[in-house]
Amino acid sequence: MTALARRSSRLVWGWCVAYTSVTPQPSRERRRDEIRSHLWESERAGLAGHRVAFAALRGALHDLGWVIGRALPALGRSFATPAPYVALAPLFPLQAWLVSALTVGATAHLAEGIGGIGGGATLTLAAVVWMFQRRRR
Amino acid sequence: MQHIFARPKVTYVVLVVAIVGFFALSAVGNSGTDEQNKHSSVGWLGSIGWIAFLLSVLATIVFSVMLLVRTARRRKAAA
Repeated sequence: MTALARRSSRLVWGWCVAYTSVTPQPSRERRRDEIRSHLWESERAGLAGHRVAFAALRGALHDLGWVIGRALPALGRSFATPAPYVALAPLFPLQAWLVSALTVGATAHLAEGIGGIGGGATLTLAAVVWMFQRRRR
Repeated sequence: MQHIFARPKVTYVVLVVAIVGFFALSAVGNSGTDEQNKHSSVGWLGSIGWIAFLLSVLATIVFSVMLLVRTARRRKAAA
């Protein structure tokens, strides 16, 4: 990969890496290659740094729209795998811990009960999804 | 040691199961008021669960940091 010489190009590249990091790999790589190529070409053409930065700023909303268009369907599809359930499971005990720490001495808060049951329930869901996945293969 | 970094997904699943399981265990003998909990005969089991829960959370944080550092180092070496 060719190094970018100008700070403005590196900044735009950093922004591109940041917003593409939440998208699926094929579209992420395509987008990064495309932007990298544009930046390299603009440097070669001697385009002023502030113009490159301004163009990136104007396109930021479009970039976010692109991310939503790619990431949301992928996020939806991920719920057919155990990964999101495993990621969500520890949040239940952690929130119960936080709530119990904030309500020391008081009667048990509803959130503590949800925290106690939610983790196990989410892990069970992850196991069910995993078994379905295995059966389908 | 290398094995847990070679398959981080499996390691995370084990840690998550530990977090949820130990948190559930911590409720044993600790589900009443403070006064009731003091007189519980199985409170020690809940205390072990609570300590193990805290250690699991700590292990998850340490593992995540180590994984990030290793990935960053590998990327630097490859570049």
